[in-house]
This record gives sequence, structure tokens and C-alpha cells, in this order.
Amino acid sequence: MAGFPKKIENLITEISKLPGIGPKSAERIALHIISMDDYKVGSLVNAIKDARENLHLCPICFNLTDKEVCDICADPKRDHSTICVVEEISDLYAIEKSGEYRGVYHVLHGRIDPMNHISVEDLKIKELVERVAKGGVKEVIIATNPNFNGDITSLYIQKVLKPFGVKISRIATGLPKGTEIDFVDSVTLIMAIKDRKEIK
Amino acid sequence: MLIKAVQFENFRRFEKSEFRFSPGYNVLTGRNGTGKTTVLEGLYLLSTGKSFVTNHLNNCIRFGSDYAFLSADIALGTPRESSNGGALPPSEEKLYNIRFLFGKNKREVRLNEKKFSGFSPIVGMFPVIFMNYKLSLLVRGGPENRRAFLNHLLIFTDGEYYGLIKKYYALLKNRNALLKQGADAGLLKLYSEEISGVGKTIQKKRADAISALKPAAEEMFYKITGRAVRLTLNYRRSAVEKLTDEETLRKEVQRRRTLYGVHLDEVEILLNDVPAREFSSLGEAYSIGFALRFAENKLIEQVKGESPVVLLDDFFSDLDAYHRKNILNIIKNQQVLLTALELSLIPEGLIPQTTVIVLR
Repeated sequence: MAGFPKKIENLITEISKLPGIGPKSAERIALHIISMDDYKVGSLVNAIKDARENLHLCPICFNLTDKEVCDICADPKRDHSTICVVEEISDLYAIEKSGEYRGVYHVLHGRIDPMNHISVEDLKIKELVERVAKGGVKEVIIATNPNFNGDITSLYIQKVLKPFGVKISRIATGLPKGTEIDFVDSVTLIMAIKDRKEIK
Repeated sequence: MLIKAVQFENFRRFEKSEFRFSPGYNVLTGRNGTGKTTVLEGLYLLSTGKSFVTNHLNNCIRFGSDYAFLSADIALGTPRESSNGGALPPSEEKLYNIRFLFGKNKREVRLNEKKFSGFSPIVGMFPVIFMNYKLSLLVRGGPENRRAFLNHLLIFTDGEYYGLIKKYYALLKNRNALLKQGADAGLLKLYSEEISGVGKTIQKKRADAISALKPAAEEMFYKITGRAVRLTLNYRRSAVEKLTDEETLRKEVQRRRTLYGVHLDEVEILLNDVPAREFSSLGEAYSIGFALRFAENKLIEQVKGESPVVLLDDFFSDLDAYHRKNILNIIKNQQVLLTALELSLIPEGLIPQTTVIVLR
């Protein structure tokens, strides 16, 4: 059985390193790229280069942007006194897609995770504290993931922000929409009952 | 609880096998290496998410395959006889199907077709009690054996416990990593407060469980041996509250690990005021072990209103006829799965009421 030529093999290896792409998909994408017209490959390469060279982190919220300040931070119609803290840029866009939130963001770029040697100084926590210290912030909503490391990160942020006297809230954990209570694990159920809401 | 059937695919020596069980006694018999213990291991795994043979689940995958699959049909709320002879009111039987698929990069649990990524939502629902020749270690082995015993009891009698103990060990691992890395004092303090909070809750639950166990274990010891003894269970908890002390932290940073907590708890067992770990004979250790396990059985039954399924591995070879009879008497009203090398080891009187499954 003959394998792929070395150069295609290299391309497959590189593509399969991307998130969400398994060896089969990587093979398909690689073979597709080889068969593409030159100008199309050129525009793909340019798009990658352009994004890499001209995108940087917003100095206020650490979202990605090609401008000096990102569109969300630059938008005067948004509520700049409410900051939603998220772990990753993808979380920011997930919340944006819901269309409900009108405040601004702060991207931590990770979570506290001692097992993987990620500590406070590897995250944008110091920058968040500075942002709150400057004043003008009324509420910080902590939207780190409701899992072990996300919860610890949230607790840590609560502690360091406490001296500033701003309102700090944590996104709710509870039952997913459309579920059957019978099948929800006891931890989630206990949380849902503890954090129950009065019907108004 | 009643295990109706179990199926294995690529699980240890079973390429594809199915076993059906009856209420009451079921004896699995067959020569060495036919997979008797593996059947019990599979059922234990579906109940607790763990194997009693290995910590590396992938070792249970049949050599040369890349996944293993287990499926069991279980009924809860099965009408049964109460231990004092009177029939309990029949309750409604509810059927469950648990499936577990695992391999190198995947792990999938399904309960009645609903998919879960892990066992957490299921652990605690289907109680089993397992005993084999290592039962004497519960008395004569290290403290980890007695902690594991308490954990097993509590995951079936307290809905919060499994989550707490998982959280505790995750905090412990992370805290130890921080101590090794010499991290940020504020962060270390946060982990210390968290772990000590979770630890306190766990120790409160353990203390309550131990007080409930003592009278039940004495009763069971009498039922097994015909001897009335005084069994004392002393809970020697490791001071979790010290974890938030400045001085403890200084010592821990030096030693680079967590020095107090639930993971260092011990339960001292005394038989008529004599420490059983050091001074019990092997026979006494077995009797105390059985007494503790059947006390656990009783507590689970009381709290859940559901009798655990009793899994006895190679039960007939080490016990004399008297103890054997007494033990089988204690569990005669629930489903029991026993393994035995040969049918001749099964007491004659038991055969009419037993389902025999021969493995080849």
C-alpha cells in the first residue's frame, strides 16, 4: 500500500493540529487544497496572513480587533458600567450571539488551573482589577464556566474585586431548557433549588 | 434492586456474552479463567463507575479491541420480603437500562437512552455490595481501605456525597500542585478555604455514618458468629480546619503537600476494646469485615428503601459451614450473585432455590 507523498503528509499533519479536525477531515481538506485553483489558495493564504498580522488584542477588554479599540468597547450605545468576565474569546461571541447582553466584556484568556501550570499571572486578572479601580464600573458579571476550574477562577476574582465595593454577580447554574427533572444529576438539581427564583 | 441481565462486548475475556439473573441466589460457576469474577467486576463498574480490579479502565478492554461495551437491565422498586418475615407492600417496579462504552479517547454513559459524559449522574442509584478475599484488609489493612468503605456507604445513602468527594480530591490535587509550584499566596489561601469547607462537610457526614454503623455492625457480628461482642468504631479525623492556619501553610510549603484532611482520615476498630487492626486473627478480621459490609447493606436498605445486590466472589472456599449458613441467612431476601469454582462447593440445601450459571 502506497502512502501519500511526503509533502501532502506534512500538510495533513499541520491541518490535523487544528481544533475540531480529525485525521479523516484533515486528509480531505489537504487533498482539496492541493486541487484548488492557485488564486483561491492565494486568497486563503492571504486571509490567514492578514488576520495574523493585523489582528491584536483590544487593550481594554482583550477581545480580538483590527482597530485600536474593539467594536464593543468603542460602541457608545453599550453600557460601559457593566463588565461581563469570560474565559475565552469564543465565550464572548457565544454571549453576543444570544443578543441579550448590552454591557461590555473582559476576556481572561484562560482559567486558573494549577494542574496545567496556569496561575493568576497568566490571565488578564490584574488588568481587570485595574479597570475596576479606575472607576465607572457598577457591576461585574462573572461568566467563567460553571465547572471546577471556572468556579475557582470566579471565587478568586470575587476576592480581588471585593475591596472596590462594586456589585459582583455570577451567571446562574440550573436546569437546561427542555429537560426532564428525572434525569438531571443531583448536583445540578441541588444548585437549581438553592438558586431558585421568585416568580414575579 | 434486581439485576435482570447484563451484556458484555470486548470486556476482558468476553467478546460478546449475555447473562440473565433471577431474584434470590445466582451461582456463577466454571473453571479458573472462565470470567466469573469479570461478571461481578462489570456489574460493580456499572454501579460505581469504578473497577475493583484496576484503576486503569482501559486494561479491561479485550486485548486487540479498541473499545469495551457493557449494558445492564436493572429494576428498582421490586417487591420483596422484609427481613422480619412480613411482606412489604409491593411498590411499582421501574426498569432501567445502563450502557457504558469506553475506549482510548471516548467514554459514554447512557441511562435509558439518555447520554451522559460520565458516571456522576448515575452513581448512587444502583447499590451493590462486593466482597472477596480482600475483605480482611478492611480490618487489618491500611486506613485507605476503611476510607473507601465509608465512601462506598455514603455514595449510596447521601445524594450530595459523591459530588463532594470528587470536588475534594480535585481541590487536593490542585492544591498539592500549587504547593509544589510555590504559587501566589492569595490563590493558595483560596484553595485552603475551599478544601477545608468541603472537608468539614464530608467529615460531618462520615461521623454520622460511623455512629449509625456501630449498632448495626454489632448486630450483624452476632448474627454471623453467634457471639455477642462490643465493636467500637473510633473516627480519627484529620483536622481539616488546620488547613487555613498560617502555620500549617508554612509547613506545607516546605513539605510541598497537603498535611491534613479527609484523605488522611482513619477509623479505628476495636473488638471488645482490643484494636482489631493489630490484634485480630484472620478469622475475626473476616467476621468483622462481613459485619461491617452487612451493616452497610442494612443502612443502604433503610435510607434508599432498596436492597443492594450482593456480589460475593469465591465465597464458599474460605468459610466453614456454620458461618456460611448464617451469612446466607442474612441476605436471603435480596438478590445475590456468587461465584464458585465447582458446584460441589454449594451446600446441597441451597441448590433448589439457586439459579446456576455455568461459564466455559
